[in-house]
Amino acid sequence: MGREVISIKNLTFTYGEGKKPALKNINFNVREGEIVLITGPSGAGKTTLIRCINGLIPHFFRGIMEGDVIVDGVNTRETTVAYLSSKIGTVFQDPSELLISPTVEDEIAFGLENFGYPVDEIERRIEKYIKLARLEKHRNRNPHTLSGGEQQSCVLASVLAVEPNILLLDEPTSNLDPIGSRMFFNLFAQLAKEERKTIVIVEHKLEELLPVADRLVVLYDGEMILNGNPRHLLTDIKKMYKMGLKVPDVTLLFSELREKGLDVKEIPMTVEDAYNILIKILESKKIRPAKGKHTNIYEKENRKEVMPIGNRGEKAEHKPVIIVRDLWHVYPGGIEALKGVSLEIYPREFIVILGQNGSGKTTLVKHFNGLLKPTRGEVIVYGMDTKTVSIAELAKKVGYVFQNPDHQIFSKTVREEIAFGPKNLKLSEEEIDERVAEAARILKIEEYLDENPFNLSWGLRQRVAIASILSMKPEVLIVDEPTTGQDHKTGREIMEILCKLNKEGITIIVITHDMKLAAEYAQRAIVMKEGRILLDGNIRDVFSKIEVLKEAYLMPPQITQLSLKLRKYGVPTALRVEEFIQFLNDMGVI
Amino acid sequence: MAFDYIPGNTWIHRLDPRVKIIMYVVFSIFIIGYSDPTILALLVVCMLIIIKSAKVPFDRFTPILKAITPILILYAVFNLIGYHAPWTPTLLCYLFGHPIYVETIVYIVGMQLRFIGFALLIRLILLVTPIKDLISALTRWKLPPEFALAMGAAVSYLPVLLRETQTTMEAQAARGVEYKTRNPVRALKRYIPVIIPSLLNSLRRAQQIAIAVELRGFTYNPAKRTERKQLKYTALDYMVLGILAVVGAVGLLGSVWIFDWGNYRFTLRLMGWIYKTVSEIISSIF
Repeated sequence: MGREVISIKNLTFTYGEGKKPALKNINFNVREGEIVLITGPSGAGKTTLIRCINGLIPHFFRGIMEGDVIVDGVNTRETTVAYLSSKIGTVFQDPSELLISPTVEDEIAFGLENFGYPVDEIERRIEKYIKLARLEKHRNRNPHTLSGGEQQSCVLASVLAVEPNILLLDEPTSNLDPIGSRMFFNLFAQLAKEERKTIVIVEHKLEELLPVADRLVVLYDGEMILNGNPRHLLTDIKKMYKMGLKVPDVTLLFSELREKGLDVKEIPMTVEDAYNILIKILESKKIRPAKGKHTNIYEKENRKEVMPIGNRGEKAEHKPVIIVRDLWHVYPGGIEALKGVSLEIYPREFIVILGQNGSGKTTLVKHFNGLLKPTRGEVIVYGMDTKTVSIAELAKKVGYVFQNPDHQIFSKTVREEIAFGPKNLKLSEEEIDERVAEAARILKIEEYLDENPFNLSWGLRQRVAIASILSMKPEVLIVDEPTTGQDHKTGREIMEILCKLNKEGITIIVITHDMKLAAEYAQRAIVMKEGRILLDGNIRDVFSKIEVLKEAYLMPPQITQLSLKLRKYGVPTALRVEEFIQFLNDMGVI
Repeated sequence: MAFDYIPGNTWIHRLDPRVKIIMYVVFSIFIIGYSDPTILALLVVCMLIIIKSAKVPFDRFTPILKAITPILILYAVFNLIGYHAPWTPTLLCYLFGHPIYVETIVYIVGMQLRFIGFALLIRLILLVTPIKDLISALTRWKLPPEFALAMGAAVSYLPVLLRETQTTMEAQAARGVEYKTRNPVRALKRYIPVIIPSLLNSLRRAQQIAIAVELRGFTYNPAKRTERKQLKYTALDYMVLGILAVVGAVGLLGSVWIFDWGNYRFTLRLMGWIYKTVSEIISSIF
């Protein structure tokens, strides 16, 4: 490893309006060519740390800064953000925040123009980096009209074009769908291998990054609580899991197994490694792969209840609440977003809809409350044909929570915001008050009722948004990507609330990219691809069809992948780590 | 969308953006300097020829023409009632007991052609010129780079802001807002839940742009910034510039010196002359 390129000494920072420091006494150094992975729950100070390195703190965000940050021998206090940006490239979670030029070419050229490079050098670098980002076809397009993954590649290309030796990546894939994430990680892996850049990356998704990271830093409540080689820190994995971090399933599994007394020398991070260790353990217990058709332990014992844990749908005896028959939707301009979708949704189901951006998920659910009307086919909601009733009428039955709470919050107080929907339903004052109180209670935001929603944190604003739909007492609740860009703990909290509502009798439909949360909470999964339904059924069945999922560019959680690989040993499909341990227990392995 | 450049390789596409801006100015001189329907009609025909030769499908102009139609109609109605020619007018007929004069009609047609001319002109220039070319033309004319940056960012963010506003409208519709109402005050009130989040979002975007600009090194040394787009006049540009210079000069002089042209009296005289000639011919026949 080379010389130190970033060195942080006794860094403490408090934002101008804040009372509590966002970072407390941080000390660490980054050497040239190192890949440093920073993680921690929401609000731990990760973004603040990034801002301290690229100079936005103290030059853009005001506050009290103690200690020093030295980048490439220069103290960030004594220089400008623009100067630092010639050495450091920054990439944010939302790529659209960094795209400011009318075309992709201009975007890549922008930084180079600013640093005064000659025109022919600028042209040469545009060609080099536009190729690296695979955006040649889109060179004259407005970057904001590209897909999320392409936008992030465009940001990366334009940041790399200046050839900084340090890259700061702040949750670069959180807003992307699985294809977009993979596109970005591939580019990232290539960079790490070929260019030997120093990379500081903030991420929640540890599975992809732990194997390539040289160092793991964990922040919690503004403090650095772990710092070291990831391989040495894996024993702390349970601690990290309890903090709400998204640790790799197999790592968690093996640290649990070790606690249960199983002799595990090395804790794996990838499914492949975990598989190799496990088959040795199974063979040592005289469990061998079955030949021909393999049955799992429960089938062998002829038990009726095949799955010990997990939900099962209760459709059979009920009438469907939503019926979709051969639904086609064509947008103006001739884009066929839905191509003959048929499905039935039953009361009290908990459904996740999975698929890439542009696969038709949102277009489909927008038909359930009449925001979109079928081009062909029909959608029947509680016996009403959506073509003949207004959105306002359907809103009484079907609630729709949009992804970004800031797209709907407009009131001065949380109370008014939650009351807005019931007011539109022309309910009486008392009824409205009652409903506001109830929705606030369910979402645990009672204490904020008289506060201005704009002063609340993102997580609380999202709850306000859900409460403001819940107060309309819908029987079906659609939630669009509630967990995108949030840590595992916050995502879980929202899913827990939805789960509670589901138990109270509300049908829940969630659009998500988070396969892990889907596996943990849903009963039924619908997988979409290119405007059609690829898979629809019990989530366990859907997730065991790994080859079909791959067609939709989806991957089930690590633990499911591992259980599928071990199918021939009699291991049933697992959706959660606890389940898998239960299986091993019942098989007599532990 | 207002900024949908249509790529092409016709003569007008190949023009230097600076020439296109000059062309815009020359056409504007005619539109502002003349209110005579004959001259303005000639100008509109001229523009239609350019549109045709630029191979821009005419349906790209229908939205803006539709948008100005209510203005055209309102304008006509108000002036039919309220316009008075500065001299003794010629009576044409009576409408609901109100006298309609020839002068009023000619005046209205002239003003409507002005609106149409402007609408076509703005659309035409933006359809055949990528916005970044317009910006580099202005930068070449010593527009400070800060302005160029602001214009470029505004254009590139437009689809984002439109998309977000659309989402907000849908989110509020899902909460039972019905936008359609005949009462304009109520309509405005119903849009408040859309306007406030959209406004706040654009403010948030503005701060993000400020950060992005810093992080991409814009303030590094603005005076020594490279301009990648090098503009150079070609023979075609010089030719068009020459034509524009002559036409522009004639137009300007015509508007200033030959008073009759700058006013709609030219059309009146033309009509008078046609009327006289036709009636002479008719009377000579009988």
